[in-house]
Amino acid sequence: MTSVEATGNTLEEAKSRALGMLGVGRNAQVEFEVLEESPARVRATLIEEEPPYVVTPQVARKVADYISHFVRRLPLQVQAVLRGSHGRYVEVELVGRDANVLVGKNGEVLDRLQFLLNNIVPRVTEPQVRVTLDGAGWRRRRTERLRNQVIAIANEVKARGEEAVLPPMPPHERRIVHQALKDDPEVMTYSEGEEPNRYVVISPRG
Amino acid sequence: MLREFLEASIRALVEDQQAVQIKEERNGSMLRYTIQVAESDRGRVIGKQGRIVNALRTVAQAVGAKNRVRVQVIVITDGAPADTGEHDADEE
Repeated sequence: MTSVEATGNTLEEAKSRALGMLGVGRNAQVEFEVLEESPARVRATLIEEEPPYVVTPQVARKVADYISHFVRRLPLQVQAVLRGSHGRYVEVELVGRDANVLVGKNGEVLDRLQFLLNNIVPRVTEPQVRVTLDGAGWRRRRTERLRNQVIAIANEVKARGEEAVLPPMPPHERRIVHQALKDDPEVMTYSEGEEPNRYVVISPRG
Repeated sequence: MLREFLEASIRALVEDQQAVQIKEERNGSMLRYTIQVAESDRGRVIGKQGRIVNALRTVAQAVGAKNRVRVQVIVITDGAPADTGEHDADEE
C-alpha cells in the first residue's frame, strides 16, 4: 500500500499536498494520520483510487442541451447534436448551414470553441466532464486522415529504425496519435516540448 | 450581434456575476465589446496565457467576419485595462 508524509502550515494544506504526492483526487479513499498539528505533518495511506469518471446518458444530454443553448446565442444557423460519449468525454457535433463558420481555417475556430466550452461546461454541469466538439464532420475527417498519416509514418519508422518527430498538435490530436499506435508492438510514442508547441515523437521499440 | 454570446460566456466563467458589465460600441465596420469583470475574476476570464479570452475573440471574430464586421474584445477590471494582448483582428 502506498503511503506518504506531507507537511503544511495548516492541516488542510498538508492533506492536500499528500493527495498531490499520491497523485490522486479528493474522491480517492485515503487514510490520514496526523503526526503533528502545527506546523502540520500528516501521513496519508492510499486505500483505493477513485474510480474513473464515466458520464451517464443524463449528463451527456445535459451537456449537449447546454451547448445547444450556448450556440443559439450566436447570430448563426447552427445546431448542436449529441453524438455519444466515452469515459469523461461527451461528443457533440455542430451542424447546420453556418457550422463551417465555427470550424474555420484548419479547424482553428473549432479548437478554440472546444477549449472555451471545456472551461465553461464543467462549471455548469459536472466538474469532471470534458467536451469533444466537431463541426460539420471536420474533426471526424481530420481524425481519420491523421490516423492514416500516423500509421504510414510508423511504418517508415519501423523500416528505417529512426525516430520521427511530428509537427506540434493540440492535446486532443496528440491523443489520437498515441491511441492509433498504442497496440503496435514495434513502435512507441511520447510527447515533448511545451504547449502550444508540444509534439509527438514516434520511436522504434526496443 | 455578439453581446448575448459574450455575456453568457463571461457569466459562466466568473464567480462575481454582479460585477459583469458589457459595453458595445459600433464604429463603421468595427464592433468593440468592452467587458468589465471583478478584479478577482480576471484570471478566470483571461486564462493562462490569455487562452480563454483569445478563444472568445476567435469565435467572435469568425462570426464578425461572416457579417463583414471587425470585432474587438477588451477585458477590463474596475476601470483599469486587464489585458492589452489583443491579437490581430484581421481575419483575412
